[in-house]
Amino acid sequence: MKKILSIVALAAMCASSQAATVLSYSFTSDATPAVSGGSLVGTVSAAYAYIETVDANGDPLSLPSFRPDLTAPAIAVGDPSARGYGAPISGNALDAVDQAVLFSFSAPQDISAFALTLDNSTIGTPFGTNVEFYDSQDALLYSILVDQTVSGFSVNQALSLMGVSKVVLPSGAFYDNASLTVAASAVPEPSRVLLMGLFAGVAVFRRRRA
Amino acid sequence: MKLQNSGKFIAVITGLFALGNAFAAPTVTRLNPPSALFTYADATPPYISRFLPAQRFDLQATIQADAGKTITSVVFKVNGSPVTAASGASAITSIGGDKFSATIRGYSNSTAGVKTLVVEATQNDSLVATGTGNFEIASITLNAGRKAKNIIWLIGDGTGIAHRTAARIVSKGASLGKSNDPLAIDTLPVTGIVVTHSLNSIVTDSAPGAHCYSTGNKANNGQEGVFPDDTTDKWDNPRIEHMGSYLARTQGKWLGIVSTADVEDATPAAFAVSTQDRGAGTGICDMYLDEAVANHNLHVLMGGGRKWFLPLDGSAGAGSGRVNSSTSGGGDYVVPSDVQAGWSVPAGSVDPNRNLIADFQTAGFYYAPDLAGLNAMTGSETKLLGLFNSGHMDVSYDKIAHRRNSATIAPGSLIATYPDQPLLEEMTDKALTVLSKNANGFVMMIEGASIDKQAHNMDTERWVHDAIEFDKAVAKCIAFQVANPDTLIIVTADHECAGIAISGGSTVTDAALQSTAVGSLKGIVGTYDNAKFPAYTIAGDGYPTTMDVDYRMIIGYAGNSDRYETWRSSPSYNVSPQARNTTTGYLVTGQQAGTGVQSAVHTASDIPLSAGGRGAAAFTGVFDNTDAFFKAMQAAIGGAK
Amino acid sequence: MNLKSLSFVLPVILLTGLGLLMLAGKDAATVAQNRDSAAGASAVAPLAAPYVDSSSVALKFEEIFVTPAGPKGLEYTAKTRALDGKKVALTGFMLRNDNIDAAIFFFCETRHAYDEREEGLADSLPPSLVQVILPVKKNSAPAWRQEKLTLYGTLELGPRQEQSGRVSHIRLQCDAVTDAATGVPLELRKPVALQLGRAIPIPSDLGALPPSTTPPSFFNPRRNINSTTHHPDKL
Repeated sequence: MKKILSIVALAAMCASSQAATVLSYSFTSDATPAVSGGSLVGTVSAAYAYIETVDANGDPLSLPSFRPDLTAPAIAVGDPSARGYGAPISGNALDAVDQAVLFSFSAPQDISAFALTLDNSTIGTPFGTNVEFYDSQDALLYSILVDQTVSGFSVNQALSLMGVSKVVLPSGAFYDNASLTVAASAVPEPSRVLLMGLFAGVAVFRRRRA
Repeated sequence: MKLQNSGKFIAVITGLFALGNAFAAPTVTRLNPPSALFTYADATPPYISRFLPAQRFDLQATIQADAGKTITSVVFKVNGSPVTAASGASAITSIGGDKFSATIRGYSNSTAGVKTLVVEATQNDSLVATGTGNFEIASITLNAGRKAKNIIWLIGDGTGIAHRTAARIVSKGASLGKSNDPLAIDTLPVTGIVVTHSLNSIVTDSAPGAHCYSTGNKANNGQEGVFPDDTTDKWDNPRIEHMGSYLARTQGKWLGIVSTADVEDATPAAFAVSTQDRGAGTGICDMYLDEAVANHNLHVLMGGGRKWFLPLDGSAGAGSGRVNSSTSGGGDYVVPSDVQAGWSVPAGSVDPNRNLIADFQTAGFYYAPDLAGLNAMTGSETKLLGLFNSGHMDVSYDKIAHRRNSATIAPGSLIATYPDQPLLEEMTDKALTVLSKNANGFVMMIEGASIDKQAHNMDTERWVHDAIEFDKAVAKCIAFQVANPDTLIIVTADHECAGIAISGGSTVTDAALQSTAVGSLKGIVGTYDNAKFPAYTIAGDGYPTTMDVDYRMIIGYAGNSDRYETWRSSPSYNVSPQARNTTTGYLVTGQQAGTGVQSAVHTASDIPLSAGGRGAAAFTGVFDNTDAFFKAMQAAIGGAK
Repeated sequence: MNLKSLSFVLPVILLTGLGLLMLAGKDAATVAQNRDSAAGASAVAPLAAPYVDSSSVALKFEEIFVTPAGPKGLEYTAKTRALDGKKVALTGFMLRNDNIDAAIFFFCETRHAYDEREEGLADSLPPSLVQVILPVKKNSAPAWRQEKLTLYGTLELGPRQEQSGRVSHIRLQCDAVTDAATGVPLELRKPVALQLGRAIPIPSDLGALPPSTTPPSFFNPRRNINSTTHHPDKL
């Protein structure tokens, strides 16, 4: 009986990584997503961000790391036409004109789909603007080129990214109708590996007792 | 016998002819953008021509064809790939003397790195000329932090380190070894040193000295917004996109240009206009409206130079300076068709009777002819044109004297004609009010122009006074930056003027100075301990009550011509140093040779640059003046922590 | 030539040479006057009677335009407009600037500086600047004098573009030049060849980069060396 219990426990953990949750951002009043199709493991937050290149001692980091900018104001949404960024978008859009926006997952996610629409203007940074996906160690997993100089540029891609901790929208444009299809990642984090090992060890111990 | 010889003769001549033809070949004599690779076969850094990713510029080559031949096709290749020009945006033009100019207009490249530029020109007899150069696309780190939404360039024309020190001694004072207070400029947290050489000399003039900040590139003396070419046409040169244009189309920013000079002068024009002749006033001012208002979001233009905006036929009053392009001196503009296509600009026309003030008003500009006009603004205006003098504005020394006593009008000034000219801080205030209405921010250039002009004239009191006026405009911008933290302020200069040095302090009172014999004037200069601490009092309006104080500061000029020095203020404005105080001053001979009016000159000295606000941290160290453009654009495009 | 004739010829040559030098050093006015029998100025020796012209109306610079200026261009005063085409007397100073057109000089209320090389047409010169036309005579053109002058001539109003590119609004077809203090006529014209200070018109800048035909293998100023084979980085 207890043997089955441990296996069920393990299976349950695996099962939770199969359910797909869709995070939909309409940016009507803030950067809080509507969650559907399941429940999100962990939390997701959005903040204006910057690339950090040095650690607390001023020594270079091994990889540049996007961090929330604690000196920046809160995430702003608005009508792009109010800033001259093209035709009005009713229901507002995310204002990432002045600064990049970082979406941080407290628990790594596997992303199987991503969609995004840009504003209806040709004003935007004319080079190098990519939506970027990073893992918890700040390694760049994937990037999607978004052309901010094309009116109404949109992205809709199926992906198979594992262990995404950060998603960055580059500065220079308004963004709307962002959508991520996520599932809690089975990709072990270093801390997660430890946790799983603990559970396994406990299960084995119980069996022996019996 | 004779036939044989003539046959041999013919054979020899033919042979020589063939040999001669074998040596004949077309050559590329110029390749733009300029590079050391082309000029000296040196591919190593520093790279002369550098551009932002996606910043537009022209490719141009001058080819010397063989006598009687023509160039039939020209191909430009960047890193081996041929460049395709937009429709109509390229040309091969015969420019006389068997020379041809080939252009591709409005090229840009979005990938960072050094690129090799090769031009291959084919002659109609199939001979090919090639030239190789290079340029660099700068690396901009995106998403590096919050962007600088507003960028304010404050240019003290001719302002070297000693100009600042002199302004500080007079306006703030020093005692017991320390300055009593800092200049507003001194409160900016970051200072660097800028090297100011132009493309063709260690000593620049104001055109390349401002063009470097507006385009990130070098220019020949006298030229702005362009690289040099081999034609006399002032408007066909290879262009570089201005900062105002780039930020307008990629970020919706507005552009503002404020100066105490005639607005056609080099420093203001270098931020909006493209010409090889900084003196082509009619065309330059037309271009402000036709190109800068249309394409660069120029919303504020203030300074002197009303004469360029009045029709020549006198229908809007006399005093017009509008010339057409049929003379060597002045110029209205007509740009060739490849420039029109490549840069989306109108052709222009020779129109000496254009009423440019009326045209600006039709384009939605509020027009202010004086300070009263500025003060009458409702505060809802989004476009502002201010033309406060027919030529350069009068200097602050004379404006303040007139404000204190309306009967005081300096001989030689235009204060009788234009009695209500604003001070630079008043113009700055209105410009900030208008430009800050844009939710996407602005880029603005504010120039204290007569620090340089009066230093040329070695009129000490007038340039020091203008440096104080400039500092007050800086203070206005710093207050704006405190209220708007996403603002970057850069206080710099185009070059140093006159080799200014503070050599000491007067050992006598002003009264004693007036009665000192001419031959003894040299002896009143107190050096070392005898310089002490010259003290000036500041009146309620913020300017010195008088510049003629007892034991005054003494200024020496190193890049100078002859002058007669009395050490006291000159009542007249703009009198030549050789004609001023000839019986009351002692002759100080200078080192400038040459013809015409002699005055002090620009020097090749480095100048200080101070910065504050978003992205200011980058402006430290010793760097080229063009680097300042890239540091500012990093803050505007990529942001800074 | 034998020694005897030499001893005669040589002193003559020397004396003649000295004489010429003296002539050249003499007041240019005298020289010019000796040359021109029909000069515009009255052909009298200096220190003679002052020039008198009772038909001329004295016009001051501050009377030319209405001051202060309106928001747009300037307006001629009624007095000035009435004097268009008439004889006037103007007192002021020559602007020290040598015009492309040798017959022209500028005349202002006060002594002015104007550096064409630095300023071009963007200047601080007053709009009441008068353009004086004094035709060149026998290769002699007006040369700058520092005295305060009174000029007599015919006033001409209206915009006209000049050879230098500048637009003139007030012109004076000059008949006589006198010293303002004494009224004595002065000769402004000096042989152009003797005007050592005459400014050279600014050549249009054709973009003088160091010529690319300089053989790079001989000297590369970027490395301050004489041969590209000894590149410091290659050591």
